[in-house]
Amino acid sequence: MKSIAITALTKTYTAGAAPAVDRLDLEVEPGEFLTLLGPSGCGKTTTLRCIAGLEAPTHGSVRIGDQPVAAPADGIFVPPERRGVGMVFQSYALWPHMSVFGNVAYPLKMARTPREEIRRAVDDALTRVGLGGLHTKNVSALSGGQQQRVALARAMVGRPDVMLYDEPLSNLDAKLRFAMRDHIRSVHNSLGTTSVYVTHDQEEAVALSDRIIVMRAGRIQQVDTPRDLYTRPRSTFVADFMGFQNILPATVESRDGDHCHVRLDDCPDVVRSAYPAPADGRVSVAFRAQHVRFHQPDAHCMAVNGVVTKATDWGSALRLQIDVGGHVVKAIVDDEQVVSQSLSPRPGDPVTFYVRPEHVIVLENRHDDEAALDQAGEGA
Amino acid sequence: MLRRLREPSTGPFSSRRSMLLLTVVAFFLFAMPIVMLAVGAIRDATPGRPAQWSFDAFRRAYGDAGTYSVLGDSVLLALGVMVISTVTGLLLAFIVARTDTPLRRLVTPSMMLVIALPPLFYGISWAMLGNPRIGTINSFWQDLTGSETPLWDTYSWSGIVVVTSLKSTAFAYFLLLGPLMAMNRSLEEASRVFGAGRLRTFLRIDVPLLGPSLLGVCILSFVAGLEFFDVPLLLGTPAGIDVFATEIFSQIRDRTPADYGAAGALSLLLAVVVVALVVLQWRILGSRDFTTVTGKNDRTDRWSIGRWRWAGTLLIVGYVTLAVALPLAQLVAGSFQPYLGGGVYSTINYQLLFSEPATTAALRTTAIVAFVGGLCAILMTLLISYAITHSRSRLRRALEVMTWLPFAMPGIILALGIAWLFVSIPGLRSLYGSLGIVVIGLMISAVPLATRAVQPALRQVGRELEESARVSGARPVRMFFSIVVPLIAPSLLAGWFLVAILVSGNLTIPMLLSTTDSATVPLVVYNLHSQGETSQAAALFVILLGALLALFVVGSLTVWLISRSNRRRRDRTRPEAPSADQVTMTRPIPAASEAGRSTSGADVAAEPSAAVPGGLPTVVKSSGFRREP
Ligand SMILES: Nc1ncnc2c1ncn2[C@@H]1O[C@H](COP(=O)(O)OP(=O)(O)O)[C@@H](O)[C@H]1O
Ligand SMILES: [Mg+2]
Repeated sequence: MKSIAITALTKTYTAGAAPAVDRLDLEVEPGEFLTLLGPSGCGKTTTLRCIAGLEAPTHGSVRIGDQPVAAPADGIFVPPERRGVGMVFQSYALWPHMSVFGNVAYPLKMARTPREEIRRAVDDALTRVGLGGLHTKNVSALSGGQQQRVALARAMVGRPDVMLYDEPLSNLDAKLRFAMRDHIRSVHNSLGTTSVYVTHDQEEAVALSDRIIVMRAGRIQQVDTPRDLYTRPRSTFVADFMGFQNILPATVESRDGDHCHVRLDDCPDVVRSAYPAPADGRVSVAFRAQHVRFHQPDAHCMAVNGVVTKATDWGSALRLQIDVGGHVVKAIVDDEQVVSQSLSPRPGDPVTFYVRPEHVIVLENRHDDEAALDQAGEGA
Repeated sequence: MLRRLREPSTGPFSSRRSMLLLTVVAFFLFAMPIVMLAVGAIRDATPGRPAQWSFDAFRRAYGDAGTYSVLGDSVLLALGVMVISTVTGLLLAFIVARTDTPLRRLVTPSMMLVIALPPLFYGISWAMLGNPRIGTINSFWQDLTGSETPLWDTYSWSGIVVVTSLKSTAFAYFLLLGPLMAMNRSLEEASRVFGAGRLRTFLRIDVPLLGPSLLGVCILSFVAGLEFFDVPLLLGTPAGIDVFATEIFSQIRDRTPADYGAAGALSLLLAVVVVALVVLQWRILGSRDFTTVTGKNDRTDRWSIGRWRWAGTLLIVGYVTLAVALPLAQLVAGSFQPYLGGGVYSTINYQLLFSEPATTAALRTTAIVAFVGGLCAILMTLLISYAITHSRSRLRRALEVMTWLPFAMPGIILALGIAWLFVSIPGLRSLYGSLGIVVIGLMISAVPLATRAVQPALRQVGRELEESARVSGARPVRMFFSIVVPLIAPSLLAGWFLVAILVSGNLTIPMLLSTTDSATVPLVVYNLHSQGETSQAAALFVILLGALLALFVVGSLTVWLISRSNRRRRDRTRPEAPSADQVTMTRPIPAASEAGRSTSGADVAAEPSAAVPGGLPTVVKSSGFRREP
């Protein structure tokens, strides 16, 4: 169990181009499961590879435990084989010319472990990932999920201080991903390693991690526990990335200590947030489509009026698009609400909806976020 | 524990220090021969002797009006070769890739055979077929018609042009086959829909689309025409016809003392022209690096060309007859005749050959030279290619350029340069005349082919397979030998066999570097032929071809057995495609697996004496999309 300390890490691949990772500072506690989350190309893999020693930082430093492993300013670079890390790759990266046993035993052979001990350790590792008894199989005879479990066994068999994962689940189908998540977390818990996990899937990050770092264009956007990140993003970028379907422009109407009221643009209605406003004047309001209610949950909730423009019944839920002063609000109404309130909205119907103040996030408008939102909006 | 290093490298041999070492070795082997040639041309004494600087050799070489007429003739010859082989190659490739012509399946295997058969084979067999007095074709014709004049005297310009074209057509064919197969069918269909006829479509759509490839092939066949040595030597010299390559050679063989200076001066001109053309051709063909990738060969994708099919079949039959059937038949039949064109069939030639210790010595020498030279070439290439793909040092460009040099150098110049190099450097002089120098020469000449065998294989080893070994605690060298080498072993083995086959047919290098003690089979064959013992020469060649055939069978079998298990693994090691519900934020996985699949087919090296017939066994590509440094 070792800590990882990254200081002012910068990696520039092509001179003159924007750095892939830009002055990143990061502390990973011993035994912590930390996830780097962000859209593709934001520098997660690069950061992970700098920790593994597969990439050398341009500036800054990386320490594992109390040993500096990369510090270009001091001419320090410890090659990957001496960093005591285990790594699981997105492509599994199993060696097809070796059996399952050969793959898993490889790190131990490199460490000159005695033979009986190798056998025992490989057995143990394969059992932990639920593959006991598959030693002699050819790795290519395994399914994708099994292959990734072999990769996991190989990464942990040498009891590394640090485990690194680069999108290990993205090549698996949905069901296998759930099972594999459990394997990864239970390996982490039982071995007590420090883990750094890279993914672009917020759900995966939330389910696995002790702490999540949201990255964007080589920089950290927000560091938080999964709960806080899920409920209280600090920027429109993070809100969008964490799955807030509704991010609307608004103006702060009043601030009352720990809560505030904001007026939605182009609309007379005001909503209440249970959180303090981050700024005066122009802001954004964010809430999830699932949190839209069609009856008033309590007296604090304020009504917003709009017109239904689209209604799609997905069976398990009803999906609505509501026009509010020219802006689209998305709502997901679950079965229970549909039945209990006998909702059957049709396009053109006027509706009134409510969002609980604790579900309404008020975000500062930052210049660089607008562009990102535009892009995200197009992709959605 | 701390290591002071600037950059991480995934593998061995790519650190700055090893890059420097490799570059020095490569410079010595690939660039020094040419440097020495240039130096030799401005010295006024034979290699190894004290001398003064002087431009006398240039004056001798270029002051002679004969030089210019030879130069002009060579250019005409090369133009002829260019036209014939490009047109024939294009037609045959089109027939195979795009039409339903009967017998089209015969073409690709024949072309591979043509590429594998050494130029000397064409020289000897067509000398036997087209000898004006006793050549098989001509005596048959004269017997048939009672005519006094030969049907076709191959000891002539037309003979040299046609026979050379037969061989270089195969290169044009393979280079054009890939682009033709990959050509987008819908473009042709669109043209047809808008009312253009078949011929118009071919001329208006296919030819322009092929433009760059076609231009590249033209330049390449022109260069091949300039470089050819064996065929002009056998067919031209008896008729007093000289081309540039044989002219260089005659400065050494026919002058006493040999005029190395003039030979060097002439070589420099040829070298400059050829290098310029090859560079131009690289520019045109771009990064395709002579390795064509064939697309899917869908039968429904073909044109029915109606009655033209039979014209196509005729072309196929004609080409296969002239390039494969006739020369092979002549060589075998001739080897059983006591003298060319007559006598009772018997095994007398073989008996004579085997009673001669020199023959068995030559066979042994050839085997050693082919295997050792081939192995050296493959290992050398492996190190260099690996270093080039893994290093981030600026030296890698230099290293890459250096390995291209022997590709661009005509064999005769390479041989001359190597001779110069070894004679001039005091410590190495003792090697001159030994088997060692022949091995080194053949190794250098084989590096371009070896590169074409090794590089695609290396490219298919996913970077993450190497990286995961490093993270697992393997040092670079350990990782290289436990991961990379086993993964590409089938390709290395296949490359070794191919190089051995091609090296053993090489005449040019032994011609200048062998002594009687280190004569290889092609050299003995040539000597026998020029002493008038053509039947024995044919018999010895048949023995060589038989041995190569056996080698080829054994080699393919071995490689097939090894790569079969590997391929089976590879097919199963691909991760499943990402499922639909994952699409939201998934970065698209580039067509890595696509590339992995399509590399079989015709991997062809366009070096005039080298190609890789058959898809080399492909190896594992981990589906990752790790970027190249
Ligand atoms: N080897 C490389 N050479 C050049 N650019 C690279 C290389 N690797 C990554 N990049 C660039 O660096 C940025 C970050 O990449 P990466 O760390 O792989 O992002 P992520 O893993 O978050 O998707 C991207 O813009 C990518 O194009
Ligand atoms: Mg990544």
